[in-house]
Amino acid sequence: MLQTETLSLVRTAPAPDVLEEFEKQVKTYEKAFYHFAYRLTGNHDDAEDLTQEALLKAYRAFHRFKTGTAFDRWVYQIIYRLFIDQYRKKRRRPFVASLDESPPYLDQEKPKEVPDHSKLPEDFALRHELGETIQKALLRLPEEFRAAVVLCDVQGFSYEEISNILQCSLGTVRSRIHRGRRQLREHLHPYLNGERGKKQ
Amino acid sequence: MNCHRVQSLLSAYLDQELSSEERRLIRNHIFNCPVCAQCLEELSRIKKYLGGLEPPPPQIDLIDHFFSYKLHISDAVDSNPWEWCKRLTLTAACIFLFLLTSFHLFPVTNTNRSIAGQEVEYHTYDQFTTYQLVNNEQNSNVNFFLEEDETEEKKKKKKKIDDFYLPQHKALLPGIPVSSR
Ligand SMILES: [Zn+2]
Repeated sequence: MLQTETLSLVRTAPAPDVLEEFEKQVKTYEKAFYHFAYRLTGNHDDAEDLTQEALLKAYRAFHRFKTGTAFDRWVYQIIYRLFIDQYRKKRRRPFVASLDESPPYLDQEKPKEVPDHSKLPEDFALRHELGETIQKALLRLPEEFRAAVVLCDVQGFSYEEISNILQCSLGTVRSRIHRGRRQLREHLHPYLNGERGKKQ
Repeated sequence: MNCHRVQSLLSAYLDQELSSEERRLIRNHIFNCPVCAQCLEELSRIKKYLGGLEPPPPQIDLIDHFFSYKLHISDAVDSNPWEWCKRLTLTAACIFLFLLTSFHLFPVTNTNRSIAGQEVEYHTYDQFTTYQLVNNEQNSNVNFFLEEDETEEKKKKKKKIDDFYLPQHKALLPGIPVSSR
């Protein structure tokens, strides 16, 4: 009864309080949502679509959202589900490679990348390049690993919160993060060594 | 703890998701094992890199776009009468198509019609040779009938016919149309 009332409130046009409340919540987390979507999809167009779709879904199901529970985690969950359902099918993969293979672009970039780090004087340029390389490596991970690693390291959630968002067990979260990081380490190996060489 | 076990726990160690006992064991191992120490170093660097990733600025104002454009479009689709007209037309078309198909698949042929007609005729009392039946029995009953008045006579005739066609149990047999009584 209560739910139907709230539903009709949401679905009909004049619902200023619900819309206001929703807008307030979204404004708090909008950047984080977009960041998550961007790290999952790897490009602005898909990230924007994904965020908007997720917000629309969240808005329509806002009556089901229990006040007092974490709004951000709820939306992260919607983003993740949408991503798995839709974007997995139409993702634009620049290459199809098994994870054991050495990625072609890293091979090409390696000779110029590693020495460059010691020469680049500007921190900004270095950070930008590092960001792009890491994003490429992230895109090579299986979607489930990518989401777990991003939620843990980029968004800073605990394992329990991540298991809540991804709807899987703590053990699965632990294993996904571990395997995801191990694969990232392999993909970024030359880069990690270059960095180390620079620092020492 | 061997190296393999330690390395499988290093990520959770980094994220401080291990028990104090496990943490202590790993610390001890790393102190003595350069391979695992190197692994931990690289993993923690990856974690640090990921944590330092700058959030990319969206190309459009997400909130504005969402509340002023996306939401209205989706609402318009929901409340647009044309949209409902389309849905209704589609439903009607489906029903029409269904009926058309069933008539096409099960046509009313002449044979079917005549069979149906025959059955109805067979079970209709008007078509039976009631006079004959009455006449056959007239020999024994004629005097009796003649003494009765007309309505009583008719009633009896009707009862006789009923008894003949619905003997003893008086129940309707399956397949005989009720309307014919
Ligand atoms: Zn070891």
